[in-house]
Amino acid sequence: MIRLEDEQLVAAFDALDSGVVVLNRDKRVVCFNYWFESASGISSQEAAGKTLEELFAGRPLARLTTSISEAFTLGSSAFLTYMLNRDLLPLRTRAGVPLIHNVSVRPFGPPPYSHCLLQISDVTAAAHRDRILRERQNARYDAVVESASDAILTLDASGVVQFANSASLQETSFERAELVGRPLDHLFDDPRRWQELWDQVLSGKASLRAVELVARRKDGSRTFLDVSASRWLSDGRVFVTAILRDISERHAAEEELHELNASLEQRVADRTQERDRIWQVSRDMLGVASTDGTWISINPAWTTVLGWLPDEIRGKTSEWLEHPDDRRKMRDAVASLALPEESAMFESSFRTRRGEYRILSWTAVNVDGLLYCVARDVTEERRQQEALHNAEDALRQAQKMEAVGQLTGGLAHDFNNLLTGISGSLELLQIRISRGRYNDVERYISTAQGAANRAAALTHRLLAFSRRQTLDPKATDVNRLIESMTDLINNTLGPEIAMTMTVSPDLWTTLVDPNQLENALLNLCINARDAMPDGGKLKIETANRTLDSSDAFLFEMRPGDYVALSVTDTGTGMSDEVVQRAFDPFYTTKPLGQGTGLGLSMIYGFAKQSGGQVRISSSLGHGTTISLFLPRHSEQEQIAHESIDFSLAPRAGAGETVLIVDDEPSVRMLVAEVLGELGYTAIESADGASALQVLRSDTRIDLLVTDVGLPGGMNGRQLADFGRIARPALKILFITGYAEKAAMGVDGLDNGMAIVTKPFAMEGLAAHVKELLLR
Amino acid sequence: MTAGSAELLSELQLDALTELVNIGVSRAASSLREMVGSQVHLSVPNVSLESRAGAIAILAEREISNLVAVHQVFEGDITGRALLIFPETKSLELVRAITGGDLPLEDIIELEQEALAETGNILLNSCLATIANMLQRSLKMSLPEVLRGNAATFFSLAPPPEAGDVVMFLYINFAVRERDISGYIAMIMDLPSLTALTHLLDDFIRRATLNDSA
Repeated sequence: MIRLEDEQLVAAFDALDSGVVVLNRDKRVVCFNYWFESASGISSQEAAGKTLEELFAGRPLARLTTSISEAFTLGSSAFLTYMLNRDLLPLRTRAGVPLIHNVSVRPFGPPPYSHCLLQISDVTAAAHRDRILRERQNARYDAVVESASDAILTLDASGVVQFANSASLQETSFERAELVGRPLDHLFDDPRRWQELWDQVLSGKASLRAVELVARRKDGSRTFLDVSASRWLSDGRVFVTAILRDISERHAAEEELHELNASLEQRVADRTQERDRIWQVSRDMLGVASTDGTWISINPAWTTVLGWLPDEIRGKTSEWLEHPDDRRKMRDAVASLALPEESAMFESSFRTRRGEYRILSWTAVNVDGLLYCVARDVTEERRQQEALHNAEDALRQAQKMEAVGQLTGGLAHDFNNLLTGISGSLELLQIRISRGRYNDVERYISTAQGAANRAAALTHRLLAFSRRQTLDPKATDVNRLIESMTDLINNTLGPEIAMTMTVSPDLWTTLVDPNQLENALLNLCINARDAMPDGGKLKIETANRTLDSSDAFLFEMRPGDYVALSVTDTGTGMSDEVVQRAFDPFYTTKPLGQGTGLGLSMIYGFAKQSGGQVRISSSLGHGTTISLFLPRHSEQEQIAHESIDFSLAPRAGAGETVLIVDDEPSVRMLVAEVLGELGYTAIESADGASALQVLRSDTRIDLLVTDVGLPGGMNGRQLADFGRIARPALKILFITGYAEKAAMGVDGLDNGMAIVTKPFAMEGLAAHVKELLLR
Repeated sequence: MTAGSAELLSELQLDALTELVNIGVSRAASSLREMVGSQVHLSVPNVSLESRAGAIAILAEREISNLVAVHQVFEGDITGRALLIFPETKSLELVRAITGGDLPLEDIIELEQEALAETGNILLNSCLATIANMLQRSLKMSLPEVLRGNAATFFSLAPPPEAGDVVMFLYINFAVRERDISGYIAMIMDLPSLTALTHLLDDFIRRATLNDSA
């Protein structure tokens, strides 16, 4: 060991750049060295003999004192750092700033140790350097970490949180003390994933991608975090800083999107399945074809309906299946579908595997260049329709036969009566003439004529029913017409029925065929009588009626002024069903043979033809009112002159010649006779051709009297036209059984033409002839 | 107790050593309590003697992570190194426990080195000084140093140890402010030192039985 002199030792003692304090066993200061004197500001002499507590009163010297005691008792040494023992002694540097120091305590000398040595080392510079560095680093660190919105946590190598920034407290809702000092893994729902990340980071691999973890807040609520972590080293120690980014919002959005996608997929799948099911189960044949008609896909109904397999149908048109009669129709239909959005509906027949044909009702539409087709098998429907049609035809035929039977029965009945009258009268006439008894013949002739007239009326009625009667409308005073018929009606009704008449005194004139109106009224009265077999009351009324548009609509008429003629009985009345059928031709409630069933039908036809209407109001057991509406006419009735005696008919001028054309010899002969009586020369012809020859000759013809209906392909109208070519001024009188409007043409009659309806009275014919020739 | 302990120390000697250590530790606890200002419980449930390799194996087996140690050399009748060893991960916890736990991480890290040095010094000094004192011998302790590494580095410090070193191996539990931290105290001695220790222990046992009988 180096030996030094005492002086040298003292000099070295005072030259030390650290503090030395020597204490005795009483813990009293023996001496300071110079460094400690200047640092403490206390001289060694001053301090000698004093304890540290006395020298540095108010300082935290407990641990130092204990250490000194133990140094003496145990011989132990101690080391007190400034870190754990701040402001231990009041020392200053030479510059006057607080001196930061560590202290070691060590006994010396042989046991049981006479002295204890305190050594004070100056660490001010190191502490300042550390503090500045730390503050600088903390400032940088805080600027980044504390202002971050992400939770930033620093963990030690065991996974215990050592640091947590403010955002992490907000994120987790834990207090700092609840986070720091504890492991982080208990935050996560799935600690294994955290552990994986942790292991990866600890092993030195940076976590390149954030790991998504679900964490629990203090209140138990879930938060979704993107966790990234990286390892760093400090003084050989490993730390891991984890950044927890809250992605709850993003996660919720993703979740929503995911659910939306999933449900969309489900909906699409459902919808597709529904559609597919329709395709599969439809009984209608569904198919998709290209625009040239080549089938691309077809549903199973094709096989069900036609028996062909899909492979037999697809890839070609269906021409080979189509009924030969339908091929053109199919081609046209396909052609009509060539343009987008075009659709077509048609029917065609397809051959089945068994060789029969099924009728298919097609609906097809062109969408985006493909033909979407639906076909329904309507074979059975069409068969049923046909059967129904046939049945209806048969029914109509049966009804017609029934009607014809009714008609012929009625006609036979009426005509037999009339014929009986006529033939009876003629028989009696023959007997009287053969016996030379001429005095009574007039009576028989009258009877026969009367019967013949009624027969003519009967045919008129038939024609009226067919609405082909030739009406001769005249301005007519209906009241006067009724008045003139009173006796006839009374006689017809018989004594059991009381008739009353309520006529409007200022009744309007109407334009109507008076003869037909008489017929109609008589018919109504007869019907009324038949409805009151046990007697009753019959009322005839007339009134002016003005129909506004709503009434007119109700009555199926045109608005305007009408004359109403009503016949009311107190009879059996009619059911609604009967009322509805009352105007049907041949419909009758009377027994077969007692009526033709033409009465009301004829009246209806007459009223409509006259521009009017018939309405029935009836209830069973309470009688019936039938009203005839006839249009108002502006002119007044011309009082018809009395019928003229045939002998008074005008006589022909000298040499006046008439060409008579009729295929019926009796009619031809009769007309010739009548005209001959009147002084005309008559030329007869049986058909149009022979008559035309006469007309083309030089023969004098003043008048052509011709039937409209002629045999041999030329009718009376055509004959007249041809005749007028040769003889433009030729006068023409048409005779017709009914109004052959078609034959007469829409223009009606030209000048110098007239028409007379069969049957006609001879004097009427003469009057027409004379009138024509005078014009 | 391991087989190695039985060969080197008798059961009685080991019991005496364990008692001495516990006296030293309880003294350390009171020192720490004074420093921390809170209850500190220290216990040493077990003392064993291991070969150097055995001690390294035990530590390597029990502790996966890096270790931190406070190292002091003791010189006197027995000479060797004393180490207070923690897993590195526990050392911050220890510092936090000692300083009260309210300090930010940066401060803890800053404190760690010196706080560990001071704490380790208290423990090691108390143990060794108590043992030496009870054995009526004196030991000179170096200033504490903080080391980081593993068992192998701790037990192979320069100058290279002589063959036949033994390690007195103590498990130590700290309970400070509701934190439980386990660590180890290891004293590495050469065989002459161990022999000296056994003699000292025999003297101690003789004195103790004399006192008891008296």
